[in-house]
Amino acid sequence: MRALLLAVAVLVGMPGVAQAADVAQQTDALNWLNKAAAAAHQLNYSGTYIHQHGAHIETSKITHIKDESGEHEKLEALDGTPREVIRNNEEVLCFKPDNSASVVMEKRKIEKSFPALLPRQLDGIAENYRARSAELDRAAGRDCKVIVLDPKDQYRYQHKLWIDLATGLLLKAGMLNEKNEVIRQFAFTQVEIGGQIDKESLKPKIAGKKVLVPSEPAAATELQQSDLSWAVKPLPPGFTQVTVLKRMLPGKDIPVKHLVFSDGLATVSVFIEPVTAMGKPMQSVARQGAIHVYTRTVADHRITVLGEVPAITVMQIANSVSKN
Amino acid sequence: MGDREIDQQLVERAQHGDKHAFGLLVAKYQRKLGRLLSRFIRNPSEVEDVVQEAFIKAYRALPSFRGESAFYTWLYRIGINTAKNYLVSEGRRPPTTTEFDSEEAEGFEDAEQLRNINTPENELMSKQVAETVNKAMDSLPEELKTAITLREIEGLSYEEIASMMNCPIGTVRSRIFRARETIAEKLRPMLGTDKDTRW
Amino acid sequence: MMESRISALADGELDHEETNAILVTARDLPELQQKWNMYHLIGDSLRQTSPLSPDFNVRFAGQLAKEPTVLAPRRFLPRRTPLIALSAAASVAAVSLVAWVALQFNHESGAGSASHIVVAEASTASAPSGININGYLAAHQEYSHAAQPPRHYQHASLEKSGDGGR
Repeated sequence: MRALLLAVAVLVGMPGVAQAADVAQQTDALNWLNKAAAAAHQLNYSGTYIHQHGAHIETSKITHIKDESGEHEKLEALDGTPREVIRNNEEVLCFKPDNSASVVMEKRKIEKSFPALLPRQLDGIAENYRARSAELDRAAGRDCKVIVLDPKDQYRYQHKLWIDLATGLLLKAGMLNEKNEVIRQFAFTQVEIGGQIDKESLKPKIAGKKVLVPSEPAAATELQQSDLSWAVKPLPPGFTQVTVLKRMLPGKDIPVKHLVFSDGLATVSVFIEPVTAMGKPMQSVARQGAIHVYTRTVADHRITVLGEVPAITVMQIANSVSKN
Repeated sequence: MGDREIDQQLVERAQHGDKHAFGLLVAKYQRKLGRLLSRFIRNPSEVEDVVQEAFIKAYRALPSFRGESAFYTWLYRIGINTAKNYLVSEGRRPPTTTEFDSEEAEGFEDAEQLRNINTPENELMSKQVAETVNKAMDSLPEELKTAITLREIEGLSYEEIASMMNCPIGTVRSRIFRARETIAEKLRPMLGTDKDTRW
Repeated sequence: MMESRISALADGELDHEETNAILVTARDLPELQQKWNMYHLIGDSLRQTSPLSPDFNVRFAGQLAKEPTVLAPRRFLPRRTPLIALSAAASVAAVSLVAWVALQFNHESGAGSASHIVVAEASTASAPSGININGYLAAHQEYSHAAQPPRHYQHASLEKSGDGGR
């Protein structure tokens, strides 16, 4: 509730929000987002959904249980390489068949995944997007409230969310670019919400001897601002720094600095690392579906910026990176 | 950059659905291909049909072109094959293998053997084009004439020309542009209205 | 200098970005076609390569229009192979070149305001060179609220040494 109140405070305090009716509409829309954010964690549900990213479509099955011991969840890949991700609260294990009839298990960090896409804090959203309701629609055979988040500027994408009227669970989520093309979407094709779900169904099903592999060396360590000899400013409107880390990335010997920025909904990562003889630093932008990536070189360091934002956003952030 | 790079970019665009880009390649190479094939096919109007067929074949085969060779080299082979097949289907014997397969045949500049690939109807037009261009060239200031000659006849890059003419690359670019525009000005009335993209 | 662009384009003397910028809008530039044709006609004429009949282009255009549009399959995308090669891949970098669309930026004149930047899509499907995106994506997805990337980006950390990736 506090998040909602804060968000509304942001709304009301903003110049240009003229009509009370407008505010009421946005409040209502944000209310629904709040509900959807919570529902993903609090409800029992089981369903199949598709994830479309650019030209790729993947199908997955998700089963989620909330009980007195917390959240338990299993995510299964229904196409491509078999894979299962099983989560118990903060503990995540990923199961993947190895070539030799054994199964690799790896501990992973918790990741935000559909339908738990929405953040608990909505202020960023309220500040950078205009929330409104659209016509009622259906998804996975259920009636949905449709909330549209219109970007307030060209630095972010439009989001459209279908929220189950009955339970508040997010059933479908789409991200659209400035040309109104869907660049990414998640959608349940069938789902059962509520009721009892047998915990047995959360056990890994992939056959084979399970081998636990050590996870990536050195979890990332958070850096103090003073330790960082880099500055990223000015940032595009609405983006603030979330965290700064030092971490190892696969295939690299030297730790890289990882800065995370967000506008409350979209996230952009900035990676800074020394240029090696192998890397061919080239200034360029590329896109895969909803993600843009931009690289440039500053003071013998390669800057890589990527996120689910339009190209100019990654470009502008990259151009704002400077060495102290 | 250079010839190879612009061709490569046009090919890539064509490979991904840009027919117009392919059209630019056709505009660039139609005469060269025509001249090549006229060495094997005597009848001028037949030559044009085969040229057309070769370009269509090339268009269809685009997905398999990976840029290992220059576009024209690849086109040239398709052209030769198309001409060969045409002659065979017409019941005519294709010229000897050596003549066909020799890569040098393409660059063979036999001055006296100016193959006339024009029908009588076009011959006049074709002569007039040549005359107009030559006359316009003669009227060009020396540095413009040199620049365009080095580019079109010697096939040098802007950088090489700049080096030979001892001037900046920008000047080379400007001189070639002005030479072309001067010649074009004399050609346009002859060829028709601006809307006429036949040529 | 702007005027001589098509002339430089015909000689292949514009850089990659500029060339793309023009080609992307070529269909809307009738002048481009006319000058391109003219310049090549002049060059051919100087090399004593005679023109074809005046209606060749019209006839050919008709033929080309009838052809089904060629769309080459994206060379670098092997079907149903994950972006990250989990078995020993010859080169992980090569696999990560999957279907990234290179973009070109046209900065229209204006006071550097972002709204004037126009992004045009280039046709080449190659990743920014030298970059293995997967590691960055895996790190990014830990923080991205709404980012759940497709499965084939995930689990970059499952890439183990000895597979050529490290």
